[in-house]
Amino acid sequence: MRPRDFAVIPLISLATLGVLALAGEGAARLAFEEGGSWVCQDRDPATGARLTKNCSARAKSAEGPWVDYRYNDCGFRNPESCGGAPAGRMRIALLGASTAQGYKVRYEEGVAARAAADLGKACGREVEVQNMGVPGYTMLDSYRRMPQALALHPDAIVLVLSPYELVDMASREQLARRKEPDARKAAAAPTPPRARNLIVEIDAMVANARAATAAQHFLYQDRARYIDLFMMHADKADYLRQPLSAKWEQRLADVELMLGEMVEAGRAQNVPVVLLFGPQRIQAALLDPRWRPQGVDPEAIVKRVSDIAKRSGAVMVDVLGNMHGIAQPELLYYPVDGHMTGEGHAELARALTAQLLAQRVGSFASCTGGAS
Amino acid sequence: MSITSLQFLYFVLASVLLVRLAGRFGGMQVRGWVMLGCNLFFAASFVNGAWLLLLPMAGFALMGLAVTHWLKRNTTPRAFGLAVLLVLAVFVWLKKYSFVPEALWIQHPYLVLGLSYILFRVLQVMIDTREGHLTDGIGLRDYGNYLTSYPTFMSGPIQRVQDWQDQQREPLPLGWAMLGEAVERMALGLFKVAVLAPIVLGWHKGALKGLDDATTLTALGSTGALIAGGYAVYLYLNFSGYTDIVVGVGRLLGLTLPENFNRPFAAGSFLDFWARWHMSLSDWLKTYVYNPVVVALMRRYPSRALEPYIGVLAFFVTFFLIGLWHGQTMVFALYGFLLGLGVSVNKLYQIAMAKRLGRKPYNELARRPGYQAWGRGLTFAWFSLSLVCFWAGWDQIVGLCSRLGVLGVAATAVVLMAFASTVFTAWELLRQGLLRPVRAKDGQPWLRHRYARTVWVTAMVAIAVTSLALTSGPAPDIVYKNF
Repeated sequence: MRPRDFAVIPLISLATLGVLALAGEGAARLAFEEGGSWVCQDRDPATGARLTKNCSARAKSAEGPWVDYRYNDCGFRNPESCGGAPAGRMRIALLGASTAQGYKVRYEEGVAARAAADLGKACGREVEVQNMGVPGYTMLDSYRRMPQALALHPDAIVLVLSPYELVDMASREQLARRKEPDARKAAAAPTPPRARNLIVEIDAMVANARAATAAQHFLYQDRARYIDLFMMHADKADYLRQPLSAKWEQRLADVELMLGEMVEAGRAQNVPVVLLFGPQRIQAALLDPRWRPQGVDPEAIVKRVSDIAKRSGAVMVDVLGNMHGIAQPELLYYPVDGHMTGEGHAELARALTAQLLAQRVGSFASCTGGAS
Repeated sequence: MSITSLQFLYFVLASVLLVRLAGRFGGMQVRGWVMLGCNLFFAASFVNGAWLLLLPMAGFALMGLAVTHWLKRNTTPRAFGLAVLLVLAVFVWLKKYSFVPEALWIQHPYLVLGLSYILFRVLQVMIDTREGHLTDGIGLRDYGNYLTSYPTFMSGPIQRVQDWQDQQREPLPLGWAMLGEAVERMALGLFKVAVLAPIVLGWHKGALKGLDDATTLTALGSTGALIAGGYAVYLYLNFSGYTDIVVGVGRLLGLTLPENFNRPFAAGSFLDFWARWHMSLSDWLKTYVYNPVVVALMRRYPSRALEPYIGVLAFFVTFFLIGLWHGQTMVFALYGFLLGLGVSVNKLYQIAMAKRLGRKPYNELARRPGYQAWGRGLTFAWFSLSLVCFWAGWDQIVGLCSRLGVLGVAATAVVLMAFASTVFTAWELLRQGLLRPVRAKDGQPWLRHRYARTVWVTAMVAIAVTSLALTSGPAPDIVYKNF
């Protein structure tokens, strides 16, 4: 060793790490390609955002495939027009957020298209699903679109809900003024761009590093590690811990309030409301009791929501319960992103179709065939 | 404590610091006691405070010491023979060999981790004491340290007691160059164990699952080759990686541990292979089994004409014992038979070729690149196929054979030979090219320059650590840990 080596060798090590990091990022960008953009978004006076009418976009997220997003004349993600349904065709209005919309999933693999096809076979007639789901919506946003859903004269309204959509559902004030358009959301100015400086650039670079996504993608495939990491969350994971926290009790009370009013509104026009409760990836991972930390029950929230649906008069569709027979149900989700894959949407559609037929919901009472 | 865990790294750092400080300020006596404390702490880490689990192994070690002291007073060959038989019998009993009636086994669970390696050390002390190599004898502390030395406790390498004693008296000083070499070996070992070995193991397991889908002879041959050859490469990466780590740890402690591997897949013959694979084991057995068997047979049958064939027989016995040593069931007898057959046929072939061509022309022929490549293929194929007895039980072997059929096994052998002949030969050529000195000034290949080595070490550590973090678990365990 020469004296200069005490400086040169650490510098070579650092440079090697830098090159490896860049190479890793490059490889991750190739393996986890992202591209396109979700450009079809407008401002909505009631909810703050809606999808643009007759718009189409093509995009790919790191974990998902390339997906075409095409919106009809009302900005709903389905090919059929939102005008009056042709005679003999049954119609479902699908409310909800990204899961309902089929975010990161090809249209034909999403719950809307799959349920339409399955129900069509079972009923022996055409069934269309007007997919009103908008990524980022909370239950309050879906609640505010209830009149628009009823205006479609559907045979049923299906509200797709998951625990994630309840976390930032509504403030007390927003809830009190739930029947009015959300003035703050509608008027919200676009976020000003952040001042650019080195720290901001590095921060953004690390946050957007594809290598980080790739690392998480593999990390979260290990069930034990994924559960450990997720359970580090406080409020976000509290719906899994029993008894429920005060915040989650309040959220469930809010769900009961809004769902009750939605069912009432539907009943006034003889339209049944169905609650499709889609589980999160963590619930699927915890389904096997051997993996559950003490005091954690992924099915408890489903039972509570089911009770709420029963009291409100809505038809409950429990998807998590159907996952018991699946060996690794967390594989039905993208590990980092947490949205369901096409296979996950197949489970949603299967559960929805089976329940609509089994419960003989509204016009579907006349359907006698079995779902695929 | 897994040697690829962070706990082991912390333990190594702490123990090196303690042992080095003890040696510097307390002298060799204190250093020895501190080292013993570290060794016992490491052994205890495998029983999580259930000390009783260590009792049978401790009893075995103490019995070895007692027998050694008894042999000092009883120097007759008969006494020595009885002592060796006693030690072997207790070893076989503790290891629960399948031919020992179950009723005789100790019914309570206990630790046998590294017992096969402790056997070698116990026998080594007995033999060297009897033959007068240990002039100063060996006390309880040094005996305990030799038997439980934590870098070699689990799976060797097997070190001769005289070498070990010499290094205890004069441990190597820890300079920057030594530190760099130690870190480099540990990084290489970690990379092999944590990154390369799991990848190859994945191929092996995937091929096992995919065998049912193989229908054509080509598919059967390539899948069979991936199953058999994949495990051979995996075992090399796993075991040589472990050896690299412990050799590096040894350097930090001031010890030069024997090497276990010297590019075994470059070997051009089965005999050459065993001079490069698990070298400390084969060297030990050559010294303490092969040589005594040859000497004994030569005394009994003193004929020059028989001499080469006595060597063949001694090779067979030695390698049959190597196979037996690896496991407790009869399948390991088959493993030993196949190893013995490989070396003895190889030796017979050498004798026949030397007779036919003459020694010098045969040696020239054996050095030719094409001949070497052919030998490489044959060696790898035989070793990989024999090794199936090492990792599979009877049921699995029968299942594999019936699935492959005679033609499938033959196709597997052909694919293994073709693969090893081409890939390992290409690797050797590449290696020779890359390591050819290009710097006339110091005659050092650029890939061996300390700056280039810094790059490799940093990259290997970064990739291994990332891989361990992403797979979120420790690296696969060391295969030889179970011996």
